[in-house]
Amino acid sequence: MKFLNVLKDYFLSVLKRTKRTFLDLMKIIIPVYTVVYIISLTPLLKMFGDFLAPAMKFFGLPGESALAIILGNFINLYAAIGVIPQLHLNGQQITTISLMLLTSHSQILETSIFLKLKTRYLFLLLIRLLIAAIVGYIFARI
Amino acid sequence: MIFLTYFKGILNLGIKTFVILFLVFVLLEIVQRSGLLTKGYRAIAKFVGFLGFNVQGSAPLLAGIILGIIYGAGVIDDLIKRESVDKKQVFLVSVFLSMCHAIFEDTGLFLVLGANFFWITAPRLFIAIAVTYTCSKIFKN
Repeated sequence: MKFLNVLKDYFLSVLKRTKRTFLDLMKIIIPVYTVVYIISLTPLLKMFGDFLAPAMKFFGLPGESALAIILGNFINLYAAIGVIPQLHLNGQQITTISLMLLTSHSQILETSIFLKLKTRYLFLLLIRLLIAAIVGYIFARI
Repeated sequence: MIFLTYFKGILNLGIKTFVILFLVFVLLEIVQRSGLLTKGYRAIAKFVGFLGFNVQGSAPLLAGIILGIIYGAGVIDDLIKRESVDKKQVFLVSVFLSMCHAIFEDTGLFLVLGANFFWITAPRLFIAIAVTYTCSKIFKN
């Protein structure tokens, strides 16, 4: 009986945490997904993509994927996740953009955390951006 | 037609995300209840010593890698309030965590999108180790 209670307690705790994070995530993903979906129906997204295509070519990614990188860095990973499924990327491109975003994301929030810790926050900000660019460059070529 | 693709897209993303998050928290709950975070840091201190970490730095490092940067920073704050913490430890923990944190949750989210598990995990750990090692050698304090 005791074991069953522990198991129930464990399961409920997992479910509560899943629900909380899931809702936080959806609060960002749904608006971002919706806005990107709407602008993808207009010429705007393609114009934006064409404009940034030369820069994103460096990472083997289509120009539109700059939107995921920008939102991921300025807002958070959840925002990037609302964009990526709509970019029609292949497997290698998804891995490349994922690794770039995992290295550098939520810069406003995370840099302010490092600032609070009174550590070299500008150094950390710059090195993350630099390393994200380097891994993007390498992963587009292997 | 347009609405159908839209709702299918959201629903697909939502269901996959929920399943992955559930699995992530199943793992995290086990890790936390096992006391790995509160006791395990002493054990990992030996392995991360070569990166410049001492026992003090290992606690926030482990918390940050597993739970995320906010938790890692919280553990550092807690330490600073209770005892004197070496500035270099705070910096090295920040360097490592800036490159690699919340490995279960963040990795899980990108698996939902179809990223390759190995290629988004191993390089990240390798980069974090390489950059932290370099920083521990370059910066004296």
